Amino acid sequence: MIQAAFLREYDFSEIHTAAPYNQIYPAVDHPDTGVFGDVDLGAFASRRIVISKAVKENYTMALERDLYVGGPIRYKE
Amino acid sequence: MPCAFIDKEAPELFDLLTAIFGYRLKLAEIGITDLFVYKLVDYCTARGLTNVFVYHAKQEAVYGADLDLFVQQATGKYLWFALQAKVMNFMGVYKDLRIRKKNPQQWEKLKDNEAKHRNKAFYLFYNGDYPSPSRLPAPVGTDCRGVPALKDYGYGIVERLHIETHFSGGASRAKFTDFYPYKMDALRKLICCDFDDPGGVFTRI
Repeated sequence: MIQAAFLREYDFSEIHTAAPYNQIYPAVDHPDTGVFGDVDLGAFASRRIVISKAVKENYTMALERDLYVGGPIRYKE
Repeated sequence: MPCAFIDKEAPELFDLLTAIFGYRLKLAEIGITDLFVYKLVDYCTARGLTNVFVYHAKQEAVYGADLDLFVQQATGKYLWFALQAKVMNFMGVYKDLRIRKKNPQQWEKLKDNEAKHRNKAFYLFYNGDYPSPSRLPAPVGTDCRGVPALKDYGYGIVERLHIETHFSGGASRAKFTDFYPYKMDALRKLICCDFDDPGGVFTRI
């Protein structure tokens, strides 16, 4: 079965969000204040984890494009 | 690094559940998810990591999935993985994963969420070994770091589509070996691999 889905690439500012979430880590003095992104984005799960990784310096792919999932992510069947 | 975290935690959960299953006992899914979040926060705090953020909902009851995982890719942008957690029992069955009388089904809600937010949904399975002695086959799947060990499947992921296909095919329940070893990956794949790594998360056009 072929699955097709276009994934959106999010900016950090969009997912660093206030209500309906409290920031647990890093600990903040006032979790309901501060600089936040789109507070309506994805109020879906009860917990949210954001992991940043080192950006590859030699990365050349254009940033403005859709990612396409052309099928199940399995590689061996 | 979160990658080192999951390398440590997945075998620990696998061993814990295996030990619990040895007594024919069980562990609640919500407790494992909370423990995972606690351990991640504790790990990051001890190391002063600045590349991880953890949020907790103010009102848990209104949410559809258990965990939203945003992982930065080589572009600097983030992909969104919606994770729905389920825990195995001592028979290797995910008892809480079944067709409900009331529609829409959970995997259909996740599918709607994929379309709305253009994210990717997975079932996050908490696994141990059963029965004793183990008769589970060796892992065959691979990711950007090679073939995971069986214990790396303490946190296993299966695409929403595979779950939907499983139940639309007439299945009434789901067990570990319905998906492992061919349709289940280790969670490390989402955390440690980029979508365009060889053996990474996605194909791309």
